[in-house]
Amino acid sequence: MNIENIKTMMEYSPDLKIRTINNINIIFFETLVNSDDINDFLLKPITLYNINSFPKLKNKIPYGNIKEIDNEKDLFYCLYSGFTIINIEDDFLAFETKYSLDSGIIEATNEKVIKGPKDAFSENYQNNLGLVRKRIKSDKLKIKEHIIGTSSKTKVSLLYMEDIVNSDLIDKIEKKLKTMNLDYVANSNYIAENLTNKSYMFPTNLMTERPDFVSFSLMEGRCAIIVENSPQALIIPSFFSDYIKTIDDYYQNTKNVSITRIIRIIAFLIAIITPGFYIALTTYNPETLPTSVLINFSIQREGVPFPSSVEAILLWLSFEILREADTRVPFVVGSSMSIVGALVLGQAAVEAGMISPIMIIVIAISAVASFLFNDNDIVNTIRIWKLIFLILGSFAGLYGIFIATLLFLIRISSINSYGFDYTLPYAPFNLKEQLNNFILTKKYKLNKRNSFLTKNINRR
Amino acid sequence: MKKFLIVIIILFLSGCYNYKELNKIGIVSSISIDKEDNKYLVSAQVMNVKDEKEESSSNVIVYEAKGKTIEEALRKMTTKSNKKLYGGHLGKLVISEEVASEGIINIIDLFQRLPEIKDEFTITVSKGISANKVVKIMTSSGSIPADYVKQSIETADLDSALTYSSKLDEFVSYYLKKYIDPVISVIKVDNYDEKGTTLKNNETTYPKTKIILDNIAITNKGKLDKFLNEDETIGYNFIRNNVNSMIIPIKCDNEDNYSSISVTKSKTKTKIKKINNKFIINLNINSNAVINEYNCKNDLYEKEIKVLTKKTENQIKKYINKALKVKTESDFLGLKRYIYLEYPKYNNEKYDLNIITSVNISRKGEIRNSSKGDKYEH
Repeated sequence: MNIENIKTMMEYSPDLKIRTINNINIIFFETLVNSDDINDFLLKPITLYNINSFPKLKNKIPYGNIKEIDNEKDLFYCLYSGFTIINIEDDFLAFETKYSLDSGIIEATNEKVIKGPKDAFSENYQNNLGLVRKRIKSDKLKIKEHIIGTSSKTKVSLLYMEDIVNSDLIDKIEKKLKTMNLDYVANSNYIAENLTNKSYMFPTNLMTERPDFVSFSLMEGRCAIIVENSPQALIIPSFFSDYIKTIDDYYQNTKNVSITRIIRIIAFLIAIITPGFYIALTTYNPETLPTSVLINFSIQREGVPFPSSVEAILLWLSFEILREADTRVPFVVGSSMSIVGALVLGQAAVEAGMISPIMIIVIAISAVASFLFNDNDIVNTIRIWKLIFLILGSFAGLYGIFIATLLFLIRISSINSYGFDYTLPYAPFNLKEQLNNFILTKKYKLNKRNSFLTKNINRR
Repeated sequence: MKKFLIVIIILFLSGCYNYKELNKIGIVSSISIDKEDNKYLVSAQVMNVKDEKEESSSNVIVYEAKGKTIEEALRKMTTKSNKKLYGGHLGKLVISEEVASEGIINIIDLFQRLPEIKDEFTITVSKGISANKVVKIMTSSGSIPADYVKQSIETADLDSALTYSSKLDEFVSYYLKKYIDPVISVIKVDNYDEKGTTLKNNETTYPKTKIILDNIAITNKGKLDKFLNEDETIGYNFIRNNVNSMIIPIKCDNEDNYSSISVTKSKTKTKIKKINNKFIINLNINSNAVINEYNCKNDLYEKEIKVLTKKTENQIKKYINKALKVKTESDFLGLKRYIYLEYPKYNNEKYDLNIITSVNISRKGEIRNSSKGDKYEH
């Protein structure tokens, strides 16, 4: 471990700077460090106090975060993390002079909020931890840090409330984090996928960019994982019932929230079932429809060349293409895209007699209903199940819808979310938990915690 | 992957059983059955699904076919139509008088056996006209003739007690039960004319050819027995507890004018007693009524209301007695069934009938919209 060694190893790093004053070497990456810090707090004192020995360096320089380095591994880790390393003879000392390479604390862009705090996580790991810390000023908030990724060396920290969280859950996650063998951690999703052995279509964790949601979940008895360079925190575990709730619910009038939640669950059913149900009713069981409705439907179907199921799948497909395109295109092009998609495709298809207007209504209402959920994972899951209902409905009618419903229930109830049943609190049914489910009661909001997540259920 | 393959194979093996596209089926809204030259003449009124642009075409089309049996005739219709006839939405079955007196129950039996057909259609007999002419008549534009008739029967049943809407399931269950026979609704056609089958029928405010409802007809052993008149039908509805609301005209004292008592609610309770081996049926009719139209000279004091109440009670009794006096073998009133339900050993013995009517004319009156009254003040 000497200066020549570092020089050879860093042959292809043009941003590595080594400044030599007398017998002192100052080593840093100019792309990672704040040069003002180096000038003001390192170079100035060194020249001012005429520092030339290691003990002097250690004692005279007023600096907060200092690390003594005794091996090569630490040296490179510190160098890559934005430390400045000062070398006198064979001794190395690292000063944190990191320059924050991130967008700062910005407003949440994906999870909209009407009332409530608007700050969001960013790519800055320290800031993210700070955003949670400033909300929970308690010594019970524990943060366990791990470094994962053989190349990326990403900091991953597990956050939980010591007195609330279920300790089995923490043990389980700790064990997984310790044994996790990854090369590169691109985003928090990498950690999430490696935490579970089985992969399910339904997400078993909540990804959020809102620190208020993370702190709320910690107080509920869940744990959170914050990953360096990732603006999304993971909340573990999650249940199906979490998707009809949002953090906003707790910032609003409790009674109105109950109605919103009921609307959300209806929207979920509409999103999944409508297209399949429509096909099943009109092509297999038209006797179940009122006469006037049936006549209305058949008038609209008159002259459409495709069978209803093909028509539905085509329309579903074109809608999904449109949606995917809309998420990928830059914001500026977005509006012209929706004009082409909605007006040109929709209206022209009906006028050309290719698609019946009622089918557009059916697919559109089911698509709009699925957007009530802001988690992208659940929207994609709804999309798959919609297709399964559609296919089974068009092969076997109402019988097929029944089978698809069974399939759905079997799949969803066989999900194991970090040792918890995914369908809690519906199955196993928990009467008390229903007070914070479809309806939200004031008592639940203020006094009680989820009883299946924690044993410490009293908030006060 | 294996599981996925199995699912896909199973799906395709089902062969889309019972699959039908909406634009490939002809929705049958009503069927009529006649007899001509010893053969059944069956007509099916099928919804004509059309674009909004073609306003000139009728909204129903009638297909006709003859056959030795009804089903044969129904199958023969496929040679005349490009769409598969679909009976899941059959609203009305019209049977001609001639066919009905030969037997209704065998026709009903067929319609119960046909798989697609719902048990909810109305059974009607066409009086004085062949049934196929009834299904050909155009009703007011925008409406389906079968729906038009079905709805008007149901409305009349609810609002006037002048008819009774008899559905397939009820017809069959009454036929199978002991000591009760089903009744069916009767429809007539006013001024039948060929023009009535065209769209022109609706060009005037007062269409000449119209389908109108008559009262009910009674059956005996599954065959048409007799048509009832208005008073008898009202009597029937009072006995069977079918009165929802109706108007009873009451003549004033010493005058030619009438006042109308509007029955708003009526309930008939039947109690069976056995005294000295003789069955006694107590028919308790409780009606609530209001006076809406009053044309008599006497002022409406308490005394006058009491007189009116008495008169109304007597009038209801008169209706019931008329229904009781209908000469028939049929048990259409189902009175014996009441005894049979109470005493299962009952074997067609004679019984006495007490009719107790009580009418409660609402005396509490208030003038709503009193601001209207200001205009008439002097």
